[in-house]
Amino acid sequence: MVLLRASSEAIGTEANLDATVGRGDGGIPAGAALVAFAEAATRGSAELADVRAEVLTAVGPECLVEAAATVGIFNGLVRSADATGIPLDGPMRDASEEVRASLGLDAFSGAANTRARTGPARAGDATQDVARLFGE
Amino acid sequence: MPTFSYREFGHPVREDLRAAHTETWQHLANPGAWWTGAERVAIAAEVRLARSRREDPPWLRNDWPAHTGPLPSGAVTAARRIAVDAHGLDRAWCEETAAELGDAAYVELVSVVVCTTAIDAFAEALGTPHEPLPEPLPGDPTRERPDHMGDGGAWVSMTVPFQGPNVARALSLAPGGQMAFMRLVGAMYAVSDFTQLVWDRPLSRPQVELVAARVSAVNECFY
Repeated sequence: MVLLRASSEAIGTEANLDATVGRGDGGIPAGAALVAFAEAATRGSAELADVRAEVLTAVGPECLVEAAATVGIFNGLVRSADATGIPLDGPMRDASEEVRASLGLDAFSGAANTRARTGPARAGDATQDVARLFGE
Repeated sequence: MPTFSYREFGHPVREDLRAAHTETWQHLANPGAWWTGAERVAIAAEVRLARSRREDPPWLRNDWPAHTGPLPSGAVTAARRIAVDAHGLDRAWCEETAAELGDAAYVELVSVVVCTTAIDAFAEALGTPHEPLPEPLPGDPTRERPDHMGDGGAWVSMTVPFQGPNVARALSLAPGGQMAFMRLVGAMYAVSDFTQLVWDRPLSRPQVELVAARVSAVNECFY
């Protein structure tokens, strides 16, 4: 969520994060098709072939490969996180606090692995949050 | 020898992606630190079985085929659960499984599951057949445990201290698996340009992050 918001702001746009829970296109070009593709491919649902064809029409084969690669690696990444119980990194935890609550993500069972923020809320700067993960 | 041609897609798939998948399969076939090549390929086969039936409701999963290969039953159960029910795992289950298999063996098993999942999910998304699993290579596990492991707040030991996101050290108790998976992450998503918010790629960074966030939400992954 933080990276979606930050990368949108970096190009002067504002993403609607509701798309991440299946509501709308996020205000992202071809967003509706990409969301449907991510969902169908992850679930292995019967609509996948049709949705794939929509993405192919909307963005072309090179972009479809990139979307498929993202689907693939994130299906791996979420399992790596959930099978090892890693906590959400502090900067990301702080930056995503409001959006997690509004989208209902705190109800996911993996939320139990992350301690709540103990300091005061701060104005988020998502770009700095990404850099802070690497100590920059 | 794996090919990862993705020919059935009908359009080119970039060479570095195919090369990363080929390298991962070669890594999978070799003995690891705690599992033989045959056991690692058997873990991948369990992932495939579970993924093929991931829409089954829980009460039908008792009817899944019993495993008759080289793996202990605890490893079969772990591979299947991580493949299809990762969001429902908890610390107690992980610690029990790690105690049964060995904590480093558990993390190596996770690395095989996530590498197989990433590659198979990519093929499914493109509408191409799965690459056949590799032929296991002979040899014994090295039984080498990495240094500098400690409590990083996860259910398993990780590299400490560490500068970077936790997901980049989640598998550090199995360094070979960690390296193989991060190689895939680099080819399929980002590593060196992770902190750059504007990408000069076919899909924009917001488009990629939208797909990533939706995949994470469908999987009910908090991280």
